[in-house]
Amino acid sequence: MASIGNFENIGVKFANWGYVDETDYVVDILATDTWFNIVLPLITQVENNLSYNSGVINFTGNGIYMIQYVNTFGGGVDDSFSIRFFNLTLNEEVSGSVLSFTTKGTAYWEVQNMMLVNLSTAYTGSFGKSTHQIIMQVKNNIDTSNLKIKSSSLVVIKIL
Amino acid sequence: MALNQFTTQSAWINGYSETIKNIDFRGSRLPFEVRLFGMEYNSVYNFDTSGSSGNGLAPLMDGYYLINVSLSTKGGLNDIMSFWAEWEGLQSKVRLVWEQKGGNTWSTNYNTIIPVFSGSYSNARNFKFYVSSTATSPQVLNFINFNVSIIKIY
Repeated sequence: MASIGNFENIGVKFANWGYVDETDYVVDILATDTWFNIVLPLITQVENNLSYNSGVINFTGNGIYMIQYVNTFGGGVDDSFSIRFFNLTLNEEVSGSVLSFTTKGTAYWEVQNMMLVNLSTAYTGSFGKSTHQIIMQVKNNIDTSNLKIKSSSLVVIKIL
Repeated sequence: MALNQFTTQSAWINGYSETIKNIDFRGSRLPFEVRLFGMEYNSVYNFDTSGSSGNGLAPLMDGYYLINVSLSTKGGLNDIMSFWAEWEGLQSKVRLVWEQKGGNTWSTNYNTIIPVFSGSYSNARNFKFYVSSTATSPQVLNFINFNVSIIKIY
């Protein structure tokens, strides 16, 4: 089989992080219908030219990225939650990233989303920036019951 | 025409099975390999599907592989299940954990990226999949659908 050689510094970007702790991660919901950051302590399965720190995905260049997550949620019995990505650099929601689900009964519910995000130069001041920071957020649409996360896998791949 | 970042040799596979055997945990919390019986393949490129049982998922190139699995499972009443992939003993750290609430049919998804470095291996080696359970249920876990896509991303 052919070796892939040393490729770390040629701009190829992909990563996979996961949450595998036996203890559920709890997102404190302090207000109804209000977005809160998910600051999951993810471990690294694979990481190349991307990074993750305290819930924030750090993108170091413009381009089109595939972002895919698989999470299992519990908590807030029969509550309706919404989840999205938020671009901290642009201070705006990543369009098309919102999903909503009900944590019916006491079960854990698996939720998956895959999207392509076009990150272009951000003009937030005098100079353009080609770095972006994106974080996952959640809100409880019904009350202030907390959200539990049983497992999480986050894949990011630069497509173009 | 735009070029993507993937300038290395491609590889991919898409397959499915509706005949994977039930897993009887019998109270055991040990992981069980999901034996890939009855796999059918829609698309194969640079994978060896022959395997010892005729159902292999063996990449022919070193590299990094994106794995996506979609499952439909039934039984395992109210057990917490864990599912993951590995290549040649190199387990992904990433797990899918879900609950077989009510023993109903649940559809779940798993994704991860796994590196393949063949080193001294002369033969292609398979990706494998494992499932474990809290195993308090007397019910077996029935795989109704097992759909897998693997794409070499570098």
